[in-house]
Amino acid sequence: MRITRALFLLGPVLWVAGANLAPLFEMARISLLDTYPAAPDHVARHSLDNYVAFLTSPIYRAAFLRSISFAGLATLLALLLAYPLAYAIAIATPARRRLRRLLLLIAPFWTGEIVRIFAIMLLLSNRGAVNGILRWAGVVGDPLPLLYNPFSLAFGMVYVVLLAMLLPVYAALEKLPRELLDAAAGLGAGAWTRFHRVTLPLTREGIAAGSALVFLISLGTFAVPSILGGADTTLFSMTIGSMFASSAGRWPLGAAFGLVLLASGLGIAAAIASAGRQAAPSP
Amino acid sequence: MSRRLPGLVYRGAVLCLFLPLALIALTSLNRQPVVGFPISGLTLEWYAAVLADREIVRAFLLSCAAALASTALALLAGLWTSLAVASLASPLLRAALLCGACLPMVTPGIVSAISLRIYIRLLGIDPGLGAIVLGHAIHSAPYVVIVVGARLRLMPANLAEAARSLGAGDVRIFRRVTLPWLRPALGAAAVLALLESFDDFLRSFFLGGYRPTLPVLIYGRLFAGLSPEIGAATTLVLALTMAVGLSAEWLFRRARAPKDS
Repeated sequence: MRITRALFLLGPVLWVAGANLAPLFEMARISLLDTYPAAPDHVARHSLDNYVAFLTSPIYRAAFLRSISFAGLATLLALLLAYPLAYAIAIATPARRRLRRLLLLIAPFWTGEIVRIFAIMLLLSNRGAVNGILRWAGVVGDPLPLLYNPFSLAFGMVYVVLLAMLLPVYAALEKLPRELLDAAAGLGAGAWTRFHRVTLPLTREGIAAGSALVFLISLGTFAVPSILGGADTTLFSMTIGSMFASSAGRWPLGAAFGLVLLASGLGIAAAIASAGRQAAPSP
Repeated sequence: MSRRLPGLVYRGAVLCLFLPLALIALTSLNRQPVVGFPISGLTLEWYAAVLADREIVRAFLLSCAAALASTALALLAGLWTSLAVASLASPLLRAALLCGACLPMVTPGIVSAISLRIYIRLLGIDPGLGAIVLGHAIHSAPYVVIVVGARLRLMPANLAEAARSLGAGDVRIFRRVTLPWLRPALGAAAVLALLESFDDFLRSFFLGGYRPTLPVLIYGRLFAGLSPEIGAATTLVLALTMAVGLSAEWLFRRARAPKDS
């Protein structure tokens, strides 16, 4: 009995250790090496050189800071778009129509990242829908350069990550007790006072959870900046990817950068999440 | 605030989210060989070209194989993990196992992809279908843990007790009571995992060998410039994922309703 119980628990523990933790530990181990995969006669040397390279290279640092900025921007934009939208469904829609509306909003997000990137190219390219309409209406003669710049990068990132913000914010808004809003209205609070004294504080945790998640997802996007970004918007994920893409890859450097991205991403996400918890009054 | 404003916000959002996707379908029917506007005439010839393109068909089949195999593995790992989590008495151990099991959800995509690329080398697995299946399963298992775990918490404790008092052993209780109770959740989790795998680009890109999955193939061709054939292929993918997603939603709702089986 005790043996079967131990075996029953061993499976998941092995899975978590071997599938979820081990890749990250192996990445951390490689990040300390000078070369990997090493030539047969090479004796591996351990050092922190790869981390020093990150701190001393302006190019790498710039890509890293750009990644943090774009992820922050995408998080903010996603929140500004998702909150009113979630509010429109969770608070302002009758309960029986709520699920149907939510479903219709979720549906576009079943498509993959690449499909949505393709859609944005069709929207913004020189022969795309926006330029087509502008030229047809005679507003512009030559097509506007809407693609391959910071604008299309931010646009694409938001379109890819929006759902991860919408769902937690929606869940928080739906849990909000309606009686509180009615009580506030009964006490003479106007729409704005109700929103910033009742609705906003009580959904703070959902906002923080969604923001933390969206920040992490944005930080990890690779296809979006590769395709929709321009020459001057190289993100850290592309820097990391390039260390593994070619045959003359530099795995240890890429592994170190990966660990830097993971640690800073988790750190910032944890700060966002705890900011939401601290100030939230218990309902 | 106007009463009609929420409805307008909602309708505007649906339009904005669907419009770019509709552009793909629209331009895939355009007769002219250059992707974009204006639409000069309608044709289905790009769809015929997709079906005749051996590379696209092979990539599609590879994506399907990866999706099916990784979903099976993710279901097994996820189901087993959620049962183990539920069986732990200590809240601390339960939280620890759950956090470990959900770690891939908060790992940024690029870090997940390259750490797996490094890891399969340690395991001696060459890039290719096997590596993709493992990578996708690792990515999808947390979704299974969350969906199945939610349903497991809704299971009335007296169901298993009743079976035990009637003389059923652990294995029998699992097969005749727990598993049927979890079936809708397993179905919903399976569809989620299928979609996650089929749509995945990042892991497939770094873990793939010589033959690309469909998203990796489309990615490569997007770099070469927009072609109407890729538009048609993407439209087919879009239709397929929408159909699969709708069935997921239907199953999900059955899984959430506490009394339905």
